[in-house]
Formats: sequence, C-alpha cells, structure tokens
Amino acid sequence: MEKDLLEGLLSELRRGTLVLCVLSQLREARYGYSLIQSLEGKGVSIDANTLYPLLRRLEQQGLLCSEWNTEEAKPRKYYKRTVYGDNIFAELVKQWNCLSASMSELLGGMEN
Amino acid sequence: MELLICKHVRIIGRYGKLNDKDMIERYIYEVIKRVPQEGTNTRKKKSGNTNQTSEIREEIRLELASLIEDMCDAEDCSVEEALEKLGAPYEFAKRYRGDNCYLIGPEYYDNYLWVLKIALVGIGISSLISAIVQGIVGFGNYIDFFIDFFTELLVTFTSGICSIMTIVTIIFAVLERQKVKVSIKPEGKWTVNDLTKNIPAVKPWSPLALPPVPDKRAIIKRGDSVVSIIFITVFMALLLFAPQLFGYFSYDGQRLQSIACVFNLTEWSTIAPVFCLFLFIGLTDEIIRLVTGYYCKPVMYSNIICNILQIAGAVILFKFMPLWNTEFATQLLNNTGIREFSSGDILRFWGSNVFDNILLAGICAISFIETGITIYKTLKYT
Repeated sequence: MEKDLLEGLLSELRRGTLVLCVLSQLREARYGYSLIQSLEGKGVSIDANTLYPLLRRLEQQGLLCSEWNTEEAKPRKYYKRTVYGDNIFAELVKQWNCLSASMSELLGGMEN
Repeated sequence: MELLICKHVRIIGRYGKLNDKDMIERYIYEVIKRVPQEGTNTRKKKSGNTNQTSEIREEIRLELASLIEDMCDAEDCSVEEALEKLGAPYEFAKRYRGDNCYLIGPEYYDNYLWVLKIALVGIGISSLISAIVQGIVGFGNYIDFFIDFFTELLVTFTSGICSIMTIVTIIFAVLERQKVKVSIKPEGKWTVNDLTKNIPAVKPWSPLALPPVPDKRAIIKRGDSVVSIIFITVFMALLLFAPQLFGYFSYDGQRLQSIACVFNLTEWSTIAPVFCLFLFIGLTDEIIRLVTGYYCKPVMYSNIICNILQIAGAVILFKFMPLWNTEFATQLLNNTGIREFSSGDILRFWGSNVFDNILLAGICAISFIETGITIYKTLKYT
C-alpha cells in the first residue's frame, strides 16, 4: 500500500518534468527511439507509449516540427524544436531553475 | 515497407500461429484502430521537399513499425518481448487520444449532478401525481388503492429515472463535446500547457485580465430555470407514462372516473415521442440557461434555435398529427349535462382549425416574447 502510494507520487513528480526532458534533447533532430535511448543514458526513463504520443502532442502544439527520413532502410520521423519551441523551452528552463532553487531551499537540511 | 525480418515463427496465439510480422501488424492495427482517424499532418521527405498529406493513422503505423524494429535491434529482444514492453495496445492508443476519454468532464460534472437532482425531483413529483390519481381512479377499497398507488409509483418512478438520466446525460455529453462555456468564471487555471497555446509565451496573471462581472440585469435567476426544468420534466413524464391524466374526471360519490382524455390515446405511441422530442429541446435550452447563468451569445443562440424548433414542433403536432381526441368536447357535453359551450369558450372550437390556430398563436407569442427578452438582455447587458 505504502509502496503503491510512493510509486504513484513519484510517477506524478516525474510526469511534470517529461516535457522539459524531451524538449531539452531536441535541439537537434532525433527520432523517437533514439530519444528514449538518449534520455535513458542520462538517467531519465520514459516508456515508448508515453513518449510517442507526447511527441505528437508537442508537434501539434507547435513546439516541435518533424521530418520523415526515407533515405535509410527504415523510414523514420525526426523531431526537432521549432523557434517557438526554443522560446518556450528557454522559459521553462528559467522556471525550472527558480523552482529547483526554491526546492533546495525548502528541502535543505531535511535529508532525514 | 518490409516491417521486420521474421526471426521467430513459433508463437501460437489465441487466433492461430503467429510469426513476428503478423504480431507486429496485429499490434499496430490494435493501436491505430483506436486512434481518431480525422486530422491530417504534413510529411516532408528529406530527399525532396514534397509535401504530402497523410492520415495520422498511417504516420503512427510507420512510427510504431520502426520503433518495434529499433527495440528488437537495440535491446536484442524478440518481437514478443518488445511488444510486452510497449504494453497493451489499448493503453497505448489511449495516450494518443489524450485525456478526452470521458462522457462528461470535470468542467460540467457539478452542473450535471445538479440538473440531474432537479430532474429527479421532477420525476418524483410526476410519479407521485400519477400514482395518486391512478389509485383514486381505481378506488374500490383501501387495499386496492395502496396496491394501485405503489405499483404505479414504482413503475413510473423507475422508468422515469431511466428516461431522465438518459436525456440529461445526452444533453451534457453534447455540451461537453461542443465545449459550450457553462459558467461564470475567470480564465481556467494556468498550466504549463497554456504556454504552448497561441498566446504570448509568458502571460502573468493580472487582476486586469479578469472578465467583467455580468450586469445584474443579465443574470438569469437559477430559480426560474429550476422551475422550468421541473415543470418540463413533470410534463414529459406524465405525457409518457400517464397521458390519460390530461382529461376530465368525475366523481360519482364513490369513485373517481376518467370521462374523457384530451389526447388521442389510440395514436399515442406515435405522438408521444414527437411531443417529448420538442419538450427535450426546451429542456436543453433551460439547462444551457441554468448552467451558463447569465444572458450571453450562447444562451441567445440556443434560445433562438430552440424556440424556432419548438414552434416548428407545435405546427407539426397540431397540423399534421392526430394529437387531439376529436370526441373530447362531445364526451364532455354528454357526461356533464351541459347543453352547449358558451360563445367565448375555447372548447366550442374543439377539433377545428380555429382551436389549433389559437393555441399556435399563443405558443408563438410566448416564444417571441421570450426570445425578444433574451436578445434584448444579451445585446444590452453583455
């Protein structure tokens, strides 16, 4: 019960950061699976069934643009931040830094 | 496109032997069949700059196919393992559809419950009226009265609840789908997602951004709407379950007897649904007024449309359907001892075009007045 509750809270905590995580990796064009690997390499785990719909949503919102690369053996859809996405990302990073500083302040000395 | 080199052809699935290609195709099909089909997207090929409009489903199909292949290659796992990792296709599809997976969302839920309660009060009243009259009409002794009373109450109340819940739910589901704005409130709570809408990236909340409070004269009194909703619900329930109550009853000293009904009960199974459809339109209009709370454009448009439809409905009912019991006036004369109706009595014109025209004129006048007030208050105060 306690474990379920903790997992639920952690999942909620992570969910809020996913957009920022994904946007951070898309200054250069990447396709979905390479993005999963890149995020996992940096310690952020994201399921494909979360990432792919999220990429589509961010594209619909104008934060990402996409291109199909059909030159290789497998056709792949590459996503990249748009200029609008860059602006939003910069703003989100600014907010994240503020939040992070506030959280450190709040949680400082509360390790136990 | 070749989806995948078939490495494993050995799995016996529920629907027969599956190779990897079958499994991938089935999985992708199960996902994309649940994703909304409408909408287009632009696919650009790197090699050319050819713009092609393709269905979202086709794009998702291609993306998933390459994802599964990538997973198998990079993680050195079987297709089955990759698909298990991706999770159930309906869960995957649900995330593509976003969060609009409910019939009535949180924005409307409170109002929905509120209207439902009001409508249930209406059903309760109509069931009680119907049961009391039914019990009195068949009155022989107290046991019969109570049997008739409780049977009628149970039947009417149960069927009434089912009908009204369906009707109210349909109305709110439509409001939800059409995103009709329903309450007086400031802009929705700010979320990060708002940054991505077509508004400036950073738009700090300011008291200046608060919408104006509607003019007091533009506020629609909840009490008025509640009374109308209860009235329409009671009327609708009685029309459906006890149309015989609209008529003349006489008491011979021992029991109450139904003498004549104003409606044509022999054709009632055809007439009642049409009648209720137009009451349903009126109910929709009242619900929109109730949940919106003040005169504004949506209320005005709803009122205009609903009143036009209701006038059209009245014309259909009075002019093209055998709504009335044509013998009502005669039955009344025969059973009351009255020789003839006085010259100013509307019953004198029973069964004639004049009678229908008088009623139609009354309905039109009420509708025009109501619409006129709505348009006036909307344009003047909002």
